[in-house]
Amino acid sequence: MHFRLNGQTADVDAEPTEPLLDVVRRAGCTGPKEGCWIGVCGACTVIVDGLPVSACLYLAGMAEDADVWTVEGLTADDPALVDAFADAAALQCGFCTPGQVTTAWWVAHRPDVDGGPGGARSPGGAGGPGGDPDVAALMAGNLCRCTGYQAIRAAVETYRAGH
Amino acid sequence: MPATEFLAPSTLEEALGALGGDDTHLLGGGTALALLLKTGMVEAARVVWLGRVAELRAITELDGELRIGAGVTLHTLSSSPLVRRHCPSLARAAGLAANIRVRAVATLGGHLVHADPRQDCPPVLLACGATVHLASTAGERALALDEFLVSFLETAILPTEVLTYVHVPIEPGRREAYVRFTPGSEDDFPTVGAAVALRADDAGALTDLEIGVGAVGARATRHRPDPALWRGRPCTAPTARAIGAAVAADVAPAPDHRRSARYRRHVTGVMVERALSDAWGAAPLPGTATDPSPERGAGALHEH
Repeated sequence: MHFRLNGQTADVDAEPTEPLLDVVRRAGCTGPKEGCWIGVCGACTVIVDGLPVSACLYLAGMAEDADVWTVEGLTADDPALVDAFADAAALQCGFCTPGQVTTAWWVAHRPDVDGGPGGARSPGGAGGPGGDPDVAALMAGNLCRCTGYQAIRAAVETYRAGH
Repeated sequence: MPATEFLAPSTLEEALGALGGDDTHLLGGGTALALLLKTGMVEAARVVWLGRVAELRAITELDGELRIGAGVTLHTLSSSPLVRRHCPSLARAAGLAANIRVRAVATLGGHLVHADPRQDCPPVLLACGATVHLASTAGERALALDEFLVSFLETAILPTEVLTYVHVPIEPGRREAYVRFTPGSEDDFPTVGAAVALRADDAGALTDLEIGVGAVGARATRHRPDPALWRGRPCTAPTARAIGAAVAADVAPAPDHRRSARYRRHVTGVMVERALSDAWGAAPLPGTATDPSPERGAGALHEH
């Protein structure tokens, strides 16, 4: 299959029905992790065409010609993303962290999100006056079993405020 | 997963031509099907992904209706200016569903065909009188969503059909709301989701009322409470409570390991009452915009 991985052209052997997660990990991007295997935990989060997806359920065939970014590419592009998590001590074992960081990138970079001004998760709801939605609502679905969410929330808020 | 043929047709005709086999499955975004394949609950000889069929990814204003392509993602639905203008409760429901990783890929068509009763969009679509359009090589047909939904994970679609479009009537003056109760995680399925679409006359009296309820029974359900409870009255708190009680009496709650039937019935009444209050307080919907050009999902799945 052919796609773009972290800004570079990638041509790799892949079955179209295998998970994109396996493809990006074989291509050397081992940041995204297989956690729950069923799209719940968020450890495998990657960005496909600007939006986070669960790479463990995203079929490789759907990513043909797509623009895929993993934590490796996002943080190389913007080290402040890593700094925000490090400064807030927003990790302990670190297994979920690549997924947390990847979703945090989306929270900061996509003002047109469902939770953006006038979005479902903004104050007032869809069509409402809008306002910044709560980070916790946007990060929902990236599970952490050891750090606790307060430090992660602080890291994402700090990073979002800088953008 | 075993070797499965993967097709990504770029036209509806090609997609229809690929259907019919017993082990052929249509793929929207994969949040349901990929999981079923992975866990071995579904075996597929062929998967037909609809993500490249551009016509199914557009949202258009057409003859007094919103025409939403079945391939539109929940994310696109929730951020669409057309949907926010003409059916804001649908934009809201789509934006509340699950989390961004699901909304980014899950399609409206896949959502409806999967027919999990806990989904957020069906109650709204039922309240707003949506119609689903089905196509096969033999022709097309349209069904009211209420007829399309049959039971738990069961719909009226045939193996040779593709759900192509969902039509939602554009009704200036309609007021709508969707509320849901999620006692667990923000991105969990709701215990109950309730949608209301209502209209009132110039004197402030209710003239039309449609209610949709999700997550309670084996399928999302449409409710039209006895007009004696509400017609010709303002939607005061006692009226909303009476309507909520009527809908609570009308649902057929399915108990599961999380909540008892009695509890779901009670929460149904409360959620309907809240949705009524929200809809009553909502601004009446405006008329149609002047620019009828179709929208396509920005930033959603690649359209090169």
